[in-house]
Amino acid sequence: MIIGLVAVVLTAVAIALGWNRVRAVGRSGLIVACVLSVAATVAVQVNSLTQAFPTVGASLTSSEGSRLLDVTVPGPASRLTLSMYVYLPAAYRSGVRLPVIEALHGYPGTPETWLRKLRVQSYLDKEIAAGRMAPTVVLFPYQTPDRLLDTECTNLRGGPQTETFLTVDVPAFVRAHYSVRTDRDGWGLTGYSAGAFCATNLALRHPGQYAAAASLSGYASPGITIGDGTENTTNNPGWRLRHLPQPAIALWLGWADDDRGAARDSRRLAAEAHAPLAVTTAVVAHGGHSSAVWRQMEAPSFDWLSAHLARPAS
Amino acid sequence: MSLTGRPLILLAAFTAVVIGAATVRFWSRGGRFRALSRTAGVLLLEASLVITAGLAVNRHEEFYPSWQALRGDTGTETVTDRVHAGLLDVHARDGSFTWRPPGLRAWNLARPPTVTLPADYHDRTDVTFPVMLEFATQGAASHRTGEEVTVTLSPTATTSATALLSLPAELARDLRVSTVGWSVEGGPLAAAFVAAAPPGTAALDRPANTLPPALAAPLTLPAS
Repeated sequence: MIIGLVAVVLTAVAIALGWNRVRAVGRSGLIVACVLSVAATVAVQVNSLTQAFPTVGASLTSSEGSRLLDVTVPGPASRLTLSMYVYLPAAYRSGVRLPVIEALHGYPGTPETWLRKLRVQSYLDKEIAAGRMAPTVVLFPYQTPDRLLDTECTNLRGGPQTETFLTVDVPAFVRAHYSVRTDRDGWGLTGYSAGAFCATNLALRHPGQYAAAASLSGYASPGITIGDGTENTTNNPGWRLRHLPQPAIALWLGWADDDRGAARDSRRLAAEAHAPLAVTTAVVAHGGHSSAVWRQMEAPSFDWLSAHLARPAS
Repeated sequence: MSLTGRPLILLAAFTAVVIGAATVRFWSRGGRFRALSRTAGVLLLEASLVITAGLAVNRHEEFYPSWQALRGDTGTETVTDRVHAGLLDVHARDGSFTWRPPGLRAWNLARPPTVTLPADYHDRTDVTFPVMLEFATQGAASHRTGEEVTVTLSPTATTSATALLSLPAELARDLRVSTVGWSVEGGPLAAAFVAAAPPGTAALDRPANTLPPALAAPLTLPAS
């Protein structure tokens, strides 16, 4: 960012000093340099906000003793091979099978958004240390092979099979490599923004695999074209709640009151829900669709998830 | 002025136009400070254009609907719930005891329920415990693991699931128990109780080792 700002100032100085010394082509070059430096600086700042193209790896350990591993998940079912961060709490040890939460990121974004902007490792350490959350393995998978392709965690017609990756390949990999619960009661989902839609949609579509899901500023529809029309039907939680039997899972729906889209959709989902689907709502007054809102929702949503998942098992 | 309102965007755009016009107008002036004034003009023009574009994008996407949101102020406090001590916490013995809550008569049971506490119930005063509700049926074995509060009921022909819906509140008043994720066992009456209870309260024949953990009071936000 600092380099970008220096480049912006330097190109401004160059255009000021060099304008009278060059002709049309040179002046055009100066203008282009100016525009490029500004565009690059804005892009760097936007990337810093979204972590869409992170450059530095995450920290591996915390002072609380938890670990964050960077692993590669081969996906035989989805044919996707993507990176994933794995949070192992300080209490993680072989022999005790811990519950699992898959944490899904927004778009644009990457798991790094959870780690950096939302400081998730710190929140998890704190909630577990306080006894408000059981020791839990938390997964932060990438959700697309192309950072600029919004999959909404669905199987795109002719595109990445992200739903299969997240619901088949990731669980299989984690069950094979870590000491975790393998039953449905021990698995949950969470996500912010597009990741919140993902969490809700995947939980409704796979109630045999996930017992609970938390949505932080989520939507009732994917907002993309999947290619088979299911964005209006089976990949649309609003449609599912109206037209299909509701599953016996628990949903936590959180939103900021001034985030009009997420607030409207979350309220609509909560209003459509009925037994055996259980819904808990949480609202913050201001903050829009921003990381400040999601940071405030993190601890309450993780506490709630832990209370709705099976406990660690010997 | 609203962060997402048209007036602010128009003001920013107008400012950009004015700065651009002034920069062009005074491009060849300024004497010995000409380089400085040109640089300042270019930088101000760039900044005003970026601000205008940023405001327009923010209005469209509604990332920050207000100045308050832009400052990261959510105007909401996260609250730490309290674990309320049960009325029987002091008197309840380790192991099992007979429970006689005020609403007992309405349940039409053959005898008062038997409550079995986890071994660490009295040591962990800052947590609520999961619950297993057992309808005693002939020959059925208990599936409790010892990590949950177990309530064993002896129903009669007149015991109804509807009447028993008051049991969770009675138990939560007397003991430190979770109000969600109960396991209920014991045939048709158990199934009827699960169906009648609010969603998420209980599941039928949930294996004891899949019950939630004993947890300290959670952090919460206001509900809608």
